[in-house]
Amino acid sequence: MVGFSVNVQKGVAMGIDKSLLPEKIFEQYSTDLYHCASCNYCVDAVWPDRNINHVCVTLQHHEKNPSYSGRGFIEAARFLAEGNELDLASLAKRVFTCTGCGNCDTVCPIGLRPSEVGKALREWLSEEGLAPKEVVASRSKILSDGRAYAGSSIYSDIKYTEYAETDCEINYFPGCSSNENLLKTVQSDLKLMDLLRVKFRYLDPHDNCCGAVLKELGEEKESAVWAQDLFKEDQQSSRRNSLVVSGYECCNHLSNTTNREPVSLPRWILSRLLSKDSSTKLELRTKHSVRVNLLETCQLKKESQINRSNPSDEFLFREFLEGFDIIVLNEHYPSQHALCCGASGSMKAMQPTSASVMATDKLPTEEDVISITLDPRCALHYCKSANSSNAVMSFSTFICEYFSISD
Amino acid sequence: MADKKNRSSLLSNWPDSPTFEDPIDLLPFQRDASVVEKGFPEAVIQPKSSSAVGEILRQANHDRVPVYVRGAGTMYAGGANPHAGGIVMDLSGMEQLLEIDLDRGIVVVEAGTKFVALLEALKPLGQTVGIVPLTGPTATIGGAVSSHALGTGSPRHQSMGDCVAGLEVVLVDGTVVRTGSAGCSGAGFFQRYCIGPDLTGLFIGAEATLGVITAVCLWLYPLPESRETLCLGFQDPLTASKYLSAVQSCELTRNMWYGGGYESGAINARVSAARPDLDVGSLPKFCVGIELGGKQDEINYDRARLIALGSDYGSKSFELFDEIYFQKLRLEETYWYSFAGYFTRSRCALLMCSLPSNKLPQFLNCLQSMREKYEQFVWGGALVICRRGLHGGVVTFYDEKNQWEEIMPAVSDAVKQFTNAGIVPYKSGKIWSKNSAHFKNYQHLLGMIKKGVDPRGILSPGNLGV
Repeated sequence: MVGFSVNVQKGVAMGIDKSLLPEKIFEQYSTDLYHCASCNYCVDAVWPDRNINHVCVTLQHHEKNPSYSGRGFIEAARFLAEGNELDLASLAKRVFTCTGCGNCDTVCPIGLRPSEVGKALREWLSEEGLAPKEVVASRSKILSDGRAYAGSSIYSDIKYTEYAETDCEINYFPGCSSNENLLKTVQSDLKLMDLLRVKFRYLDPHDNCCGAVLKELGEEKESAVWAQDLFKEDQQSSRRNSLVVSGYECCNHLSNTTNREPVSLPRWILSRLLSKDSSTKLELRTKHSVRVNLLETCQLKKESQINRSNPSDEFLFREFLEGFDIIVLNEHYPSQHALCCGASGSMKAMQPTSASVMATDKLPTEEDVISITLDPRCALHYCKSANSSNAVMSFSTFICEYFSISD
Repeated sequence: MADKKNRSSLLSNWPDSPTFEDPIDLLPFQRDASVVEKGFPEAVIQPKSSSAVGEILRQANHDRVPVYVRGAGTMYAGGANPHAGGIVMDLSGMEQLLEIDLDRGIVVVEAGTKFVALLEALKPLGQTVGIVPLTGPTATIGGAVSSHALGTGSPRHQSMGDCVAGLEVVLVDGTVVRTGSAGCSGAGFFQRYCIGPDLTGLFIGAEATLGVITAVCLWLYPLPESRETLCLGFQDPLTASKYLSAVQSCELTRNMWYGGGYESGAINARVSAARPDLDVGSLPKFCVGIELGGKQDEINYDRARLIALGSDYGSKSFELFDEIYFQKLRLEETYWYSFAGYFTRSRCALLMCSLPSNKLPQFLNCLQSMREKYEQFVWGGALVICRRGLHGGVVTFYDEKNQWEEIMPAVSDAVKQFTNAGIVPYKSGKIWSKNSAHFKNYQHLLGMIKKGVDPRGILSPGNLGV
């Protein structure tokens, strides 16, 4: 195993010694470990012109301690790579408190990937049986229930038309977070598809997890198996309907683990609604001005978000709303640097109180402002954190409640 | 250094100041962005007020525990690296904006306030501060004062210290003192002098060796109505240096928001990256990049004068460089990393120095000799135009995995060469102080002051060589 030792007296790296970091992590991330210039952007940067108002939500709302940041993960990995012993339980506590939002990767001025280093450490620590007990408990529950969100299934309350497979245009996968106490969200999704005359196959109506949440908890291999199992039927089908998925974490996970490139439900619906060829007519039901607070989704962080020629889902949504003179209060929505609401990663399992504060901190205090998110998992987390099922609406619920839709 | 018993009594007394002792929490506090070796702190404390800083210092002084002070750790000086162990006092949590007084033209902030956060607060008032370092999104104001930063504003104001109207400093015995006019109770901040010498200046650039800066009063300046860039190409650095001396002597820096000098290697690298089809042999050998800021009529007037004066020294407008690099750097405020990062994506050693404008050719000669002697590194020169003279940065990119043992001897060699050429230390105190023979008496005075204000030597021992 290759590594570098540190002469503690001199404090310098001194040639090759035994690394305490797995070789595969060192090989994959040695550039990240050795090229970090300690600029501190990934710890805490404020740059309003780029809509960066702090970078790491864990540091903002949980503990102002850089060992919990992307830079902290890089420093710890390098320390181990140089053959120094470190309490791995302490390391596990820190890397599993990360939301995995990836802000530290997008803000790094020289393209390093501190968040990915953190994920690699999580996976390794899990394999070694060193994941914190909160994470293990959360993981065990998912493994035994078959889903990340173990609330009562609402499947039996959902009414939808079952079309013949050969007639279907899309395969629709709502994701397990949609189905936990978010009846309105799923019903709105289905209603919109119905209004748009979309014939769909409802994939896995039994709320099984696609594995995305397991992956966040460090179960990389098992999460891939779950994704492949869940979509076995879909993948084996000779018909290649578009796969439309509600949650962004699910989209990312399925894209990485299967041979499918899912389309997010918001993108799919908004593209239809905004299409010039669409015969669907929408009209705002209220004559009063509508003010909305759009909640960003950290898992939707792609270059396309700020690129108008290839607009992201969030940009499409903003465009849609502004087309109806709805007042969007967020000047910078969308941006590449969304602070996580606490739903993502293992933060919720490790630090539930901090995860709730991350969510409630983003909600407006004025009563007449409607908060909307594109991601059902975030919607669920916001509502739970605020102890109100109306704290945040999904995009589809908002459209269904505020618009009349006709042909 | 303190024994274990003393350290634990020191660390257990501050319920309102988060304290970290777990070795994993100490790793990010071992070093700053510099090439200086890391240190090994025994604990980190994050005080939230100057009174907490005072109590901690008093106890540390009693227990003889070394204290190093840190803002964001973006410095290239090694000042935050705790070489004598002890504790690191992290002031990044002290980020309150304490006072804006437009009548007095001042703003007072806690030391951990980030530059860009302050600029954002001042923007609606049409105000800004004199100097903003190129690490603005993360750098703290206390850190910049403590390390004597430079950057945007240097042509008008020279350096960070020249924009400071007063400080709140905590001394090693826990006394909280305000310098300048605020030293007199009830007067408040408005000018940096009170009775006797410039005690504000005593702490500027001192890298926390004489006291801990907990709040800074900066003078305010109006935001410019307009900003424009201008690049002039010269056929050799000697004529460029004469041009810069002429610009400075007739105060044509008055509306210069930023000014940079670019040597041939930097010009060729940037142009080649953007326009690989061009023959770099035809490009100017030196470029002066200027950003003007102010009222439009003043900008127009100064722009015309700068161009006319340049033509006296054979310069021509270098629009290509302006378009592909300088405009983007300045008007989009891409800050440090696009400024330096064209060389390679890596950690770099930055040796900061100061020179009179007419020593520009010597600076570049030294740089060239370093390039020839240490071919394994990528060497770059960064020059910032000041009100008088230039700030120079010798940027050496290295691969920390494979070149760690070679980099420091090369930088030390650069220190010798530059000092021999009459180029003086600026920032990078820990590196320069290794070659203190050139400023022996100056160092003697520094040592006497240090002994007077910190007799037990607990404040940032080793910084500045004291």
